[in-house]
Amino acid sequence: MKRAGILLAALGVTMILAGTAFGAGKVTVTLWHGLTAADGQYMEKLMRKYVSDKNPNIDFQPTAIAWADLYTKMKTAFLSKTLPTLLIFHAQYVPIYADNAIKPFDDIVGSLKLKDKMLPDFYDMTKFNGKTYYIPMTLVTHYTYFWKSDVVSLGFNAANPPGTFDALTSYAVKANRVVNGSKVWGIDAGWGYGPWFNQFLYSNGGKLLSDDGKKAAFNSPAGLAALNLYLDWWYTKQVAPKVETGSFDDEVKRFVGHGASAWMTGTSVIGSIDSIGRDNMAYQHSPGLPNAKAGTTAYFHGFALPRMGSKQADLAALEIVNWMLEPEINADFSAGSGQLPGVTAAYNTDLWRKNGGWLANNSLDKIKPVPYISHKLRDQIQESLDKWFNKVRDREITAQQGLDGAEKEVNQILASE
Amino acid sequence: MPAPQRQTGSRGWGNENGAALAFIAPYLLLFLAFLLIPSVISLFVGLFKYDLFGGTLKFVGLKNFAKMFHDELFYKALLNTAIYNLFVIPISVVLSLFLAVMVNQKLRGVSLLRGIFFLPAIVALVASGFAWRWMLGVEGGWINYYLSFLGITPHAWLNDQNTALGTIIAVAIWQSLAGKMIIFLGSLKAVPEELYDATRIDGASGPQAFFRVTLPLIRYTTFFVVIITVIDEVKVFAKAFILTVGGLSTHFNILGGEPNYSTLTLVGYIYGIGFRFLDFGYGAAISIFMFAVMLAFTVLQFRYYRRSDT
Repeated sequence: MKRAGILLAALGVTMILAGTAFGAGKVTVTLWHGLTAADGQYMEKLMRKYVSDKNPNIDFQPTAIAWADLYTKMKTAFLSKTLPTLLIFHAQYVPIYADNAIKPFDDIVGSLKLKDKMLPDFYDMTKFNGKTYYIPMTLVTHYTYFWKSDVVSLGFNAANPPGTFDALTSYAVKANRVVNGSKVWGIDAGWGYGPWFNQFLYSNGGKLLSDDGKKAAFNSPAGLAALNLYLDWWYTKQVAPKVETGSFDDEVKRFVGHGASAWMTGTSVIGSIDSIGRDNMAYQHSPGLPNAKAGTTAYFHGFALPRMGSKQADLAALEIVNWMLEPEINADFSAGSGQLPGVTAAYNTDLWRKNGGWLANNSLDKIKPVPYISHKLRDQIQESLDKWFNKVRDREITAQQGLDGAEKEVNQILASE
Repeated sequence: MPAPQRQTGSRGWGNENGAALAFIAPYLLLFLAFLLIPSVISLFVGLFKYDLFGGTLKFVGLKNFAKMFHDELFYKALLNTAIYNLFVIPISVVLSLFLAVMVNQKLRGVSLLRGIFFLPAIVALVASGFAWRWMLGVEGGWINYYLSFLGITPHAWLNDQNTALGTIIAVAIWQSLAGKMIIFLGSLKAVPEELYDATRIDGASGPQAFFRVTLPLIRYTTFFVVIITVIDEVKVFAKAFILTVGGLSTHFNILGGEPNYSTLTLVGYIYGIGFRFLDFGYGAAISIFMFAVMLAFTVLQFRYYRRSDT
């Protein structure tokens, strides 16, 4: 009798649960993204706000995974059919994942009116092979961070930071100093080759691959100038360390503690952690620097729908995407993360104007972002570039030999497809 | 009433072996599923270009093996692995034996010392790896802090390509001492005390007793320790991966082995080729090469010890 009572009670609880959470059509949206710093937390907070205020029927489950792990996990999860409902990753990976891990969603994207909403370069990123695979949310540019007090003490005007490569280099020469017996470098450039070379290359009018993506195109006067600028920083002007001064965390700590460079360059991760909101610290998007001539090195962070999601889950996921593209929300996230908004109207919000978005907006209107390697074999291509250019950096070979070697190897990689 | 007879014949054999099989079945199944069958498959995969995303499998013969011998990064990984082993294997074996001899002394508090020396063996590799990363940090790393008292300026040991591999070697030696020390200690305990008494009567010094009595008597243990160390250390991956790859900057270095591939090991390269580039054919070819090298080393070691035993 007692056992029957327990069974009845258990059945009752099950029925109540079924009638609420599950029975009422709750749809689960799982999200994987690589924004593991404060920017990711801020984004998740905004997304949860949508779910709680606008559609509580969505069971939203975000997971932040370090980028390198995310890209590995995406491949294995594709094979084991365990991809989430929604992904956020960098636009340059679209050619790798299109038609295997992620699917085109032209049939359901129409209502978002992306073309009307977005900056032209953002909208261009939505398409691959004529189909819509990707919705860019924000643009991560290179920043220059600087401590106003340091800059003023060096005799510069903090309101007018360096605006060209040459200006940055000459300012950095002056900023080189010794603190507590250790060399403090004018520029922290310990960021690997891919991002820097690309930026210098495009700023000098060059490009990485031919327009059809079948040949290397970086072995050019612009490529040579890009490598020589690096060498100039390291060996002639000696304004940047030839090795990374520490782990990424170490570098941030050193910079924040004034023990490192007067100008720190990088993408906006630090912006979201340390620079924004600090009275004595200022930052400048790369549309002002260092791309004095053209372009801005950038990562697009954006959304894609993995193949496995059901139509119902896809629609719920797109609701969240659409929310993040609302001008106020897009601006709010951008201001909170230091990334540039993809939605044109976001730049008109007061929120964004406060954080210097007008500068980025002015530049983005005039200058196309530098494309990263966007190719099915991008990982192999970048690995090859890093390998050869590191040899140049270490003076094992000349800049021209580095370009020749990388060109030959990249063409072999491209031919192997 | 006749006494019950012990079961003999095929039925008895069957029961005993059935029970034995039942006991080893879980291991056997796991061994087959995760070691033997994948190993056999990888022999074949090495002959193919296997596009995991596209789902295509194209026979390329020995092309993957030929590619290996023209691949600069393969040679870099091979050299790094060789340098690593050249230091880690002899130093860790000799040091662990030295520690075992030390904690085998009848001294007060030696049990506590044994416990302290054994600690690294029970700390998870990932946990100790992260702890080392923090300790070696430029800012807030206590190793740099104490070195500064000796006039050595803070240095990014794991981020400088000239010091990264050496730092990993030092950490690896620290990590591997404890397990080997315990094995040696067990073996040292089995050496009869009377033999040392006899050497003392004969007037032998401590080192003489060690080289003439202890070492020959623990030679099988030494052989075992060397074999497992070689097998373990040639496969080095996790230590290097935890210490020099991780954090946000990994996004830019696809294969790992930072900085500038100075800590890229063979297994790390196989992992990168396989799981980052999804080139399983090439990854399998390198694995086969590595298996062949390890097999050759093990056979050579067996021959050496067999010859020295006769």
